[in-house]
Amino acid sequence: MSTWFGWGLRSPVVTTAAPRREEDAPGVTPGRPVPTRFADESEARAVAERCPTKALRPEGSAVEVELARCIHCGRCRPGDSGGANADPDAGADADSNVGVPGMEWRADYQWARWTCEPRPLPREFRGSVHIRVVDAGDCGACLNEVHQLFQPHYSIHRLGLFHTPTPRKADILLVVGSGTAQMESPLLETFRAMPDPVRVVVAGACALGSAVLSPTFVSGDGVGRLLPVDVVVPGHPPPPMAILQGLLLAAGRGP
Amino acid sequence: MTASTEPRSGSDIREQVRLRWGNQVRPAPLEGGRGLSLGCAPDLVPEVCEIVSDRGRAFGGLVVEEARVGWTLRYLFYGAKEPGWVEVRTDADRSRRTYPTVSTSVHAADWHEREAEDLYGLVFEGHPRLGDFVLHDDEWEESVEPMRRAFDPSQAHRHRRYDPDWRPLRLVRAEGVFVQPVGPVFSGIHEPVQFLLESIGEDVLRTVPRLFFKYRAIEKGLEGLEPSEATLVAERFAATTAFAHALAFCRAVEAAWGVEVPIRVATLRAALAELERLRHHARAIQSICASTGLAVPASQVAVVEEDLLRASGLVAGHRYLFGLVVPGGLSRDVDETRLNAAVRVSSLVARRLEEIEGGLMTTSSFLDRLEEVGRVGKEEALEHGLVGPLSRASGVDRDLRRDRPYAGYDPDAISVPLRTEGDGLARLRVLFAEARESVRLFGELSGSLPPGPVLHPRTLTAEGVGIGWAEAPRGASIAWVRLDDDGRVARCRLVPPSFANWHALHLATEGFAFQDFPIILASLGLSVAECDR
Repeated sequence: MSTWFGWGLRSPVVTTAAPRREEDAPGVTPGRPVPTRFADESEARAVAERCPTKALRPEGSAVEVELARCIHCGRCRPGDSGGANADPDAGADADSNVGVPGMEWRADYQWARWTCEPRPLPREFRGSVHIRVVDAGDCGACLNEVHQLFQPHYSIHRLGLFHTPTPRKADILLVVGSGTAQMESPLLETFRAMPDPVRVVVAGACALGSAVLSPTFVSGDGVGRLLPVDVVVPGHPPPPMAILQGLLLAAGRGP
Repeated sequence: MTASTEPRSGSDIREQVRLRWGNQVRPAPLEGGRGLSLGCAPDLVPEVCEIVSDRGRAFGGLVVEEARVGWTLRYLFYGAKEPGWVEVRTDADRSRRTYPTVSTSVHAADWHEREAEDLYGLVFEGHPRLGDFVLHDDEWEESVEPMRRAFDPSQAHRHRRYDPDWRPLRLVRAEGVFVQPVGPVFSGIHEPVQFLLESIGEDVLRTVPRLFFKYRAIEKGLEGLEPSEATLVAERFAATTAFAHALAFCRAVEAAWGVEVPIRVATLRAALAELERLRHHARAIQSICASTGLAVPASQVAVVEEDLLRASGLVAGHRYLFGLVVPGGLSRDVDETRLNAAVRVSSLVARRLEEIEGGLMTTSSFLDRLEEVGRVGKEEALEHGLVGPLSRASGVDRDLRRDRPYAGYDPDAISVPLRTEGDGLARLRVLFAEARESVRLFGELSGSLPPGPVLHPRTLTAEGVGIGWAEAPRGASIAWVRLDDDGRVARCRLVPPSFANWHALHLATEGFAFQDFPIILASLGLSVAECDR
């Protein structure tokens, strides 16, 4: 046991300096397309059509982004016409895609937002915030990103954010997954077991009701139908940094 | 098992079947891949399946199809020997709802039949445990049969709120015995699943899992989609091993189209699949360390996992490798400088894991909690059709990368780590050994990338049937696809590894001490999302 203790002390600190400083390690976020202006309307339309989830909307010669629908597939990047929509005759040659116009991408992660008037937790609660995580039909990615938050790279305990197994002690309900039919009751019961004040943070495109899979009778079309949602974190999955930003918003410590 | 006196060579299965049943069983080439199809009347299916599986073949899944004219049931088997894939197929009239169960002779078919009963309303006569499976009985009417053609999944379907007084069909009843329900929302950051722990004092007699809280009707949702749209869905039903599932699905579509992917694609697919395996195994090891409360190694491995997630993000633009595999190839080429950076990360990871393994193997308090805990024997593993590292820790020598080679794998260059103890420690050691092997393969495959295109020149809209498979990190992932005349998915059967491996829970948790439960659970490495679909 003492060996491990020593090992722990000797190991370098890997924890991010965020939110004090921006985290810019490569691969920390998948990035996102931002509204982009194109040469003309037809070019804008062509780029928007490459999006498989209709997250891009042409407006004249510009293309707007509905981030809640984005799955970071990268098909709208410049020079990347995407496998599925490749020209059958030219698709085999990767070089032929170079020069294809595309959306501008930004490698950030600050995209969580309030769905209502901002109403952060009251001041007394902000120093030590307890979070109950519920998976309501998630594919595993969002849940895994939430899991990373409690590991050394992000270590959100240092910010006074803690995971709690019991809803009775929780201040924030963090929900991932689309809200499947058979998880409806357990999710609602968890919510009802939480004492006021409570804030609901919802992470991931599926939980926002814009999954790749069109809603079926069981898959659910988002958590908003079931719970009063305060903060949403788009992303497919949102990287840990984005979820952290969402939690800080709800806790009243965000920008 | 039926006594078989015939010679043990795969090609003779045809002969053996002919001798026994004459022309009652009709051999034919397999639709959708290299292999053999054995057609017979419904009543013969259990016997034929027993003979087919008796040759060391693994059960690959039950595919039910409801055509306009009638039902087709296919029981799929696979093995290293020729003829590779074998299906036992039966066609029946639309009105026929009752079939004899195969689960009494091939136990691995057990859950497949329960699923078909729940979703299609077929009845498997002689099956010991039908009812309450995918659609929970307390929430849904029995008449809800979502996989039927006539069922419209986009229509909201009224379901009741769950009933707190619901009881399973069978429970242990004895003096001093009580049942403790755990879940679906329970401590920690977990996927939802309910465990009914039948316990007496500190000892648990039996554990019954109740799954499918996350049932999303993925197979139904795939119907009618174009293959490239369908791939987006097929890779997202279980994201922690998304690449392998997308690979199995796309290979099924490619088999239906009859196309071979370019050599660069095959190599890259194998390389990235190994990166994913490495990342998955790091997480699985992390869970085992964390379940025993050993915080330092748990944190150390968690660091490794995040490093690998970032490396994946660097290579593929997505931390979980989403969106890369498409039918016919890859959606974009991979930047080789970045790939080499990921290879360097993986070799650092290998060194790190080796140090951690060394440390763990000398921590006696840790070993005590894993040794002889949650044992699954080889016979049990074979009988229940367990797959992946879980089965290899019980001595089952199966790996699709070697047995039915695909993508860029060289079957002779793959070593498959085996343990025979079948306990928690054996599973941990198999994970470490496989992670090591993945680092090696990832480096070798990335270092020998042939040049060339990354997409097959033609995307087709052809009808056809295809079988695709991949050795996902948790075991065999199998996809069976039928494309209609418009080239859209008419039926897709997804058989992910966890659907088979959840059987291991009740095997590993018979008569154990209560406090070992989290450890056993972690050492099995089961995924709920993958099973629930």
